[in-house]
Amino acid sequence: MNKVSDIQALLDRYWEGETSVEEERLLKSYFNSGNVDEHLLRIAPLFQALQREQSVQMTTSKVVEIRAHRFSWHGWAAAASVALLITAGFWWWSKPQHPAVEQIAQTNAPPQEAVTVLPNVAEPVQESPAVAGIVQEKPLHKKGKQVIRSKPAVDPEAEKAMEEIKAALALVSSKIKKGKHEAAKGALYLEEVDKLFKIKPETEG
Amino acid sequence: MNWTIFQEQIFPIRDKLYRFALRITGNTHEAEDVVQEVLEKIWKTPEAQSEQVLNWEAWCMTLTRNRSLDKARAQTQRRTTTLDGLGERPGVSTNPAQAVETRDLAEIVRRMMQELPEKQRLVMHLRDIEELSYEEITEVLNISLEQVKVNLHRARKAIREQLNATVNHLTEIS
Repeated sequence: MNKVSDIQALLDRYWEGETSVEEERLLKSYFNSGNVDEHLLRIAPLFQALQREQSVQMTTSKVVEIRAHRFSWHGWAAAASVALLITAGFWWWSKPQHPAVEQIAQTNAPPQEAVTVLPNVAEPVQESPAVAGIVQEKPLHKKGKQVIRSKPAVDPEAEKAMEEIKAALALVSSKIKKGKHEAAKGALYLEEVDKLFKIKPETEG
Repeated sequence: MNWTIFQEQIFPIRDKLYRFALRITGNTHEAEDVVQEVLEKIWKTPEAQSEQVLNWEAWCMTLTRNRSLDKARAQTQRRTTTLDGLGERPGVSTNPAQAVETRDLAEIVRRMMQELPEKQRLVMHLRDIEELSYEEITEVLNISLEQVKVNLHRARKAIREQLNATVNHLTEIS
């Protein structure tokens, strides 16, 4: 094979659409061999173009981009949750008269250190009777939340703010739950696609 | 969708899908979008439906064709309304004058193929680049066997004539 006359015969059949895929591969191989007969040279660019086009590959950047895009809302939800928690925490800890604060301060640190963080205590060097007194009034095992509810003097505005924060957190929570299923499915798909890209040299090579 | 089928039959042909999408849209970004969307669609196909597919490659190519044509039409509409990019085919790396100058005739042929009428262009692509059988081409493009043969013949003939004319022209000027 590969005699000029044979190639010419194949080429004639190619123009008529009578060649098989195998015969067309033979033509591509011949015209890309670098050893093309002078009489056939002018048609070589066609088969060179076909071979060149066969090697065009997709870049993988798109998958990465889509992955980043798809999970960006997760980041926002997490950031919103953290911001809300910080706000709630700040409001919680900044209440100077709150027994829960004193209770935690009392249990986590020596009395001298605890009083230094409490601005309403007059005697920083001594064990403060005010702090001790409040702590003794409330049982140590009581949680902060219960303390607030049992305390009649809580600022109604603060209570309202707390309710709003709770509602906001519940909203974020519901959004996360809603997207959980789709995200899990998408994550599985993308993880597997990533794996395939990693094993690509083995499977194709 | 069964993961084994996806891994063994769908994912390895992604470049084939990309090239086909690129042939239709003429734009690398659009083609990548098409492949991504097609892969996601296939992945989400219910098990019962995917069990009925006999030829995965032909099915994927059909999905790619449909999605690409949608994109290509939207692109044409955008260009018509904004008069943006008229006479310019997106996704082309070199200009024709440059290709002639460097004697990159293969690049000129590529451009000639891209300029063929849609049916001829797609039939020639599926046969001469992706090496599909005539029967598979009828399935992917939803046309008759006769139409496949006629369009392939016309496409090859057109490229042959244009290439001859270009080579003659280059011989004359050099």
